[in-house]
Amino acid sequence: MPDRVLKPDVTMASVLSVLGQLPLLESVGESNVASTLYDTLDWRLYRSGLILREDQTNGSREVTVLDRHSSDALAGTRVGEVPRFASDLPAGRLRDRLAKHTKIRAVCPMAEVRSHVHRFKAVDMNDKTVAYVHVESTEVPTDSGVRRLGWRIRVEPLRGYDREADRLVHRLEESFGTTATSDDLATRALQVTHPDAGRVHPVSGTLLAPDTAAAEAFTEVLTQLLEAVVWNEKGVRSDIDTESLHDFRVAIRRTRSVLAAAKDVLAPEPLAMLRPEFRWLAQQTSDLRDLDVYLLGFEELRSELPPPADVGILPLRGFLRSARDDAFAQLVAVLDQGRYRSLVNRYRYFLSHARSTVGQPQASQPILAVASERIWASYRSLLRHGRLVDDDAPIEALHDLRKRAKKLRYLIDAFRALFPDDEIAELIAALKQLQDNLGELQDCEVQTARLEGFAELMTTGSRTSPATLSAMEVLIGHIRRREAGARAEFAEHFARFDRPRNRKRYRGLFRANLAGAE
Amino acid sequence: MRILATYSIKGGVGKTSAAVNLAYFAARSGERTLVWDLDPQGAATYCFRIKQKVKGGAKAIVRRRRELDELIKGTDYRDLDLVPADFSYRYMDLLLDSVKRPTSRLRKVLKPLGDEYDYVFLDCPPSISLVSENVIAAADALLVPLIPTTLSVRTLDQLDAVVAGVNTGGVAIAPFFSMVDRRRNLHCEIVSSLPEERPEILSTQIPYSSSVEQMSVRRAPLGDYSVRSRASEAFRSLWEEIKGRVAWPS
Ligand SMILES: Nc1ncnc2c1ncn2[C@@H]1O[C@H](COP(=O)(O)OP(=O)(O)OP(=O)(O)O)[C@@H](O)[C@H]1O
Ligand SMILES: [Mg+2]
Repeated sequence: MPDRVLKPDVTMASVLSVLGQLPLLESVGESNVASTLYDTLDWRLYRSGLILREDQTNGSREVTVLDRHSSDALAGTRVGEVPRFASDLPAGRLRDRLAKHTKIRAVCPMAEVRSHVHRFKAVDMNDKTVAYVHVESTEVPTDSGVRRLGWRIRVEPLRGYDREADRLVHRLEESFGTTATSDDLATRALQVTHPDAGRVHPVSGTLLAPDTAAAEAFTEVLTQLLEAVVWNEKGVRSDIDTESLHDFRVAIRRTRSVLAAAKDVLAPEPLAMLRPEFRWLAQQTSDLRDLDVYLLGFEELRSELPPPADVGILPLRGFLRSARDDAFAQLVAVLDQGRYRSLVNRYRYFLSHARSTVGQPQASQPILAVASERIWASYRSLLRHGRLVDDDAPIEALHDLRKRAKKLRYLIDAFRALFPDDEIAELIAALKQLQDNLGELQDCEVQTARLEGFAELMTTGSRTSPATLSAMEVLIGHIRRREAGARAEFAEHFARFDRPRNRKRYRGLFRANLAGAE
Repeated sequence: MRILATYSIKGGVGKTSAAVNLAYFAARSGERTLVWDLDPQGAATYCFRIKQKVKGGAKAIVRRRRELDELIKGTDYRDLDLVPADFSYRYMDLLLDSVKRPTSRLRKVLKPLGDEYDYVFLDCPPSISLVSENVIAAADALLVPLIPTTLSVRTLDQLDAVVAGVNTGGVAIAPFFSMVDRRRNLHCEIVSSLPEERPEILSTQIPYSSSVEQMSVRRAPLGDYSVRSRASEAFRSLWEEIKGRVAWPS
């Protein structure tokens, strides 16, 4: 049985004195306790109705996943340290539960809950404890001082004593003329520290009526993307979860795709100013992301190496880590810079006026037609270029194709809510396969180039051993082979993407909506 | 999860006292601990002030109509839970005899608790039976209290023979001296000579002490009312020694 909570309409002092006199209830003292609530930066647990709580008592530390509406414990375990990722936990129910919701996201502290507790134990005729009664007053520290969350009576049954605890709850309900409920203390605490708890900035899909004027719809989509940029910026700076940077970059790239598609819908001068600025911003993030990806995949790369290269390669990790620290410091400096701040401000100002744009040829056309046209055009250009790539095509042609595929993907993502969900899902799945293949090629290319660059840098520093350098050569050889594999598979992936069924789907979804379509 | 059983063919040697106090200290040191009182007499259950009663009785457990999980009672001590004894455990043998693979039943019943507990203590009735075969098959180690008498050796030999007859996953036998009375020459002699012959005997000894006898009056583990007594200290060090034996098969 979960804990039950009573909030009688009398003073805490009178409750304490009544409890002190009830038979089979003994005071066992007072204490201060603190617990911390954790979630991912994008509130994955909160949005699933859960929260992770850490309690420290007598030197041991416990983490528990709670239903945040009722505070019922769903799974818990004792730990040495609070895990950052679900995968840090020992196998078991808690890990499964956490992994299901947080996926690869790190959890971080979101609120601290402090309580002053008067504790009683309820016993049976044999003087055996059957439940604890806590009278606790709770507060939450915030940036602007401590906020009180009131007091309550909480009945905590001992395992296997549900019936006895039930009876006790009834007695208390009668004594205080109130009914027991479950408790949403965790939710209330989080809402105090984070008034926007649970809110995330959608990286995909904004609900739009199909006949919304294009200017308004574009502005809406871009505004949400801007919020996603700003929101993820916080995560990037806190440097707890590398996925924040990934999401930051995705929001920027989507913004760029949608800005490019906004031609003839929004005013041209601001677009001409904004687009290069966002390209600049995207470039500022690449180094750090590359290094993150390297470090995240380092162990896997290393496991591909035969001995002694698998050990010889280790100094590279130290090198990557310090390079990553530098890249992070650089990015933070950029985010503090006037150029970034003024980009955000000017962009926000532009968007606040863009909704009612007039005078652009397509500004007042229905969004369904305009979005379909843009997606259709992007798709056509991807097909056209893809069909030109044969086995002898230069690698640049494939990179170009990768960018076109991305552009198409971002456009579809931005406007996907306009189209039937299941069909879009299939269409994205097909596109994603092609993107994965092209992405793998690009990754290999970037990785070998970077490794060669690192090797050069490392040899100028005199301490690098020949073993490390030769291990790096082995690694480069591996990546080259992977790259060749991906290159060989391209034709097949593209043919899949270009097969008649998929073409028909694009025609049906997008061309059919074009203004003046037959 | 490690399963430790206090076991002896002989009665009244200190099995229950050991199960209760060792479990208490295991829990005190932060291990999530469960005691399963398998003795229909229910001495361990009594000691924790818990009522002797299992819903559905031994039948529900053996036939797996009820998961052990539903029968667990919290004790008054943090990290220490108990599955109570029940009168019907007297018929456990008959019940076990009626299922397929009767000797591995207990192990199966305990398995789902693997994530939840670090240590399980089985307190067994003194006997050689299907129940004890089950216990031997399920346990990682048998903790065997030995009262130092000239018969101690024979007791150990008998035990070896019993264990040899059970198909175990490799159970460690960990005897320790119980109710040692330093005033008696015979005790002193045996305690100093027997370990040479039987190196598996643990080095911590539990002294004879009236504070242990008090457990059934106080209805609590020694650590609750007499932490500083010699006997309490002895159980604490015995726990440390047992825990330190990492070489146990798992
Ligand atoms: N170290 C000790 N000093 C004094 N008395 C003890 C000691 N250990 C056990 N006793 C007493 O001996 C009796 C038997 O002990 P206990 O119940 O622990 O043994 P047991 O092996 O579990 O017995 P049974 O076979 O009946 O289950 C009890 O009355 C107990 O109080
Ligand atoms: Mg006993």
